[in-house]
Amino acid sequence: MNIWPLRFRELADGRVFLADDAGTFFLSDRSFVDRYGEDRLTTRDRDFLLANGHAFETESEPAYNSFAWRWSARQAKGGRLRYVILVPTLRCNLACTYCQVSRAPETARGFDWTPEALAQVLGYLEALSGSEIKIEFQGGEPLLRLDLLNAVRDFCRARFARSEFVVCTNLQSIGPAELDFLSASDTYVSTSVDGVLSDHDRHRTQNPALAKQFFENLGAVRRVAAGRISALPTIDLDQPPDLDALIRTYEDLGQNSIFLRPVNYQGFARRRHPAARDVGRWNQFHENFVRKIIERNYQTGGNLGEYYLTLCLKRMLAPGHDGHVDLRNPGLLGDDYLVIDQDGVLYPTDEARMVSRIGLADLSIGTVAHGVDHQRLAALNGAAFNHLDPDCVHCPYQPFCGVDPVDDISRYGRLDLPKHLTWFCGRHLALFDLAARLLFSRDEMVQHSLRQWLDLPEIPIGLAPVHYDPTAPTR
Amino acid sequence: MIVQISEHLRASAPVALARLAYHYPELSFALVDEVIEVLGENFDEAVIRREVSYALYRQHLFVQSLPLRAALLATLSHP
Repeated sequence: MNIWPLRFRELADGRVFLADDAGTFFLSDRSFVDRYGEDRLTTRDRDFLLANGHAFETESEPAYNSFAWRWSARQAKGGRLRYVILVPTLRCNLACTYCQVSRAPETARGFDWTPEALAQVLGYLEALSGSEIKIEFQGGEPLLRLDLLNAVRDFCRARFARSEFVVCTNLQSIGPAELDFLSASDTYVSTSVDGVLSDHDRHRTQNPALAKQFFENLGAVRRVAAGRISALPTIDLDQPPDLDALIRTYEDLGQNSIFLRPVNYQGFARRRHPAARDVGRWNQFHENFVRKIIERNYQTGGNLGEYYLTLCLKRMLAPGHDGHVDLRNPGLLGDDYLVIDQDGVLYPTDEARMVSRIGLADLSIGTVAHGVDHQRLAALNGAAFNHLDPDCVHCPYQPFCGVDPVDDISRYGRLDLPKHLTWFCGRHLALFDLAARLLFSRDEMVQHSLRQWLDLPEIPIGLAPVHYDPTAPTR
Repeated sequence: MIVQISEHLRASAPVALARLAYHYPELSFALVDEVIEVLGENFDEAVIRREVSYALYRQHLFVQSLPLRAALLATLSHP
């Protein structure tokens, strides 16, 4: 019998999580790991591995092809460019403490697309192959240049058979024209709501009247774009929001999922939010929040989830959850999405734009005028997967996890730190540890939330297999 | 602390020790004849003993399974 290599990791309670390269996992104990590492597996061990797809007898049998398919399905496929982030202006009418973008004051001049720049962007979009496009308007505050947004949207609607638009906006200045723009069924709103008014004011508006205006604007937009608004809070660990109030705020918004976003270690946040470096504090905060919503869901029969944990759970349970570009593997850069900055420079991600804008490293990959510089892109993509990392090759979470070379460069100025020393790895080890503990929990309170998050009427036993061999001889 | 290692894990020891060295920079690991010697202060011996075993297993299993992984990639590259 041939056993596909199993990676293993002890959980906090001493149980051991094991997974093969295709991401099929089970829970066992130290004695199994000893037997496995010392080449003395029992008949029960071998039967379990064979029955659960971790082993095969010959390459001609279905078990082999099944594993090959599952491994292949675990690899993210990028493909044709169909998601473009545009930055029509760097001007903004707020100055949030954790702003990661290279913003300019609202009244500044020279920070918007010129007519020539608009023409170049439209020319770039015109040349794309394919019949679908998703445009994300970033900034600055993109609604300050509604005319440019209209020009892009009109063009895309005519050029592509299917087009969608996301406006990442602070909703601070909304009038009839903006409401009309956002009322279109192909247009989505992404905004930040940091909690109750005082939380929102502390980091974003720094003026209670403006915070009040924001919530009024949010209400107005909800009336014209119901079901097309996503909001998320950015969490400052030094002044975290009251969790119950945060949850109530999002429940009032009608969202059943909250994406807790840590302060991004970019731009202003480097100076003003040193806690953004502390992954341990973040992990503790995040787990506390998850425990709270699990308890709350059980008490209320509710279904509130934390978006990123749910994504991790889904990635553990099945291949194909590769839509979130920050967590996929390979996470090829400049492939199916990219950023066109206000000055026409191309970047693989918005964070790469920030790293470049603050002068840390030039991560640009071309210009809208001349297209992608494939040599520069290839250099970045050499670090865009985790299969060969000397530590990831031993990590059972590797098939579900990803990499973030831009974050590594941003935080450490290098790509070759041992993974366990990086914020990305520290965060995801904790997330997958938590996800594993939840998946193998028999606590009805946990199971209730898992059913809601995974949209399952019941949690099948086989979803989280457990293997022990009490008859195995000990050393 | 001394950790005995099985004969079949000896070949994995140099790489395993290199990995342990950067995961536990406060400790010193050395392969001496048939054992691994761990030097340091105030460490949990049970934890480190297990980590040494796991590092040896991981390297052993990694090398042992390379042909399987190569065959899988060959299958997928040239089905």
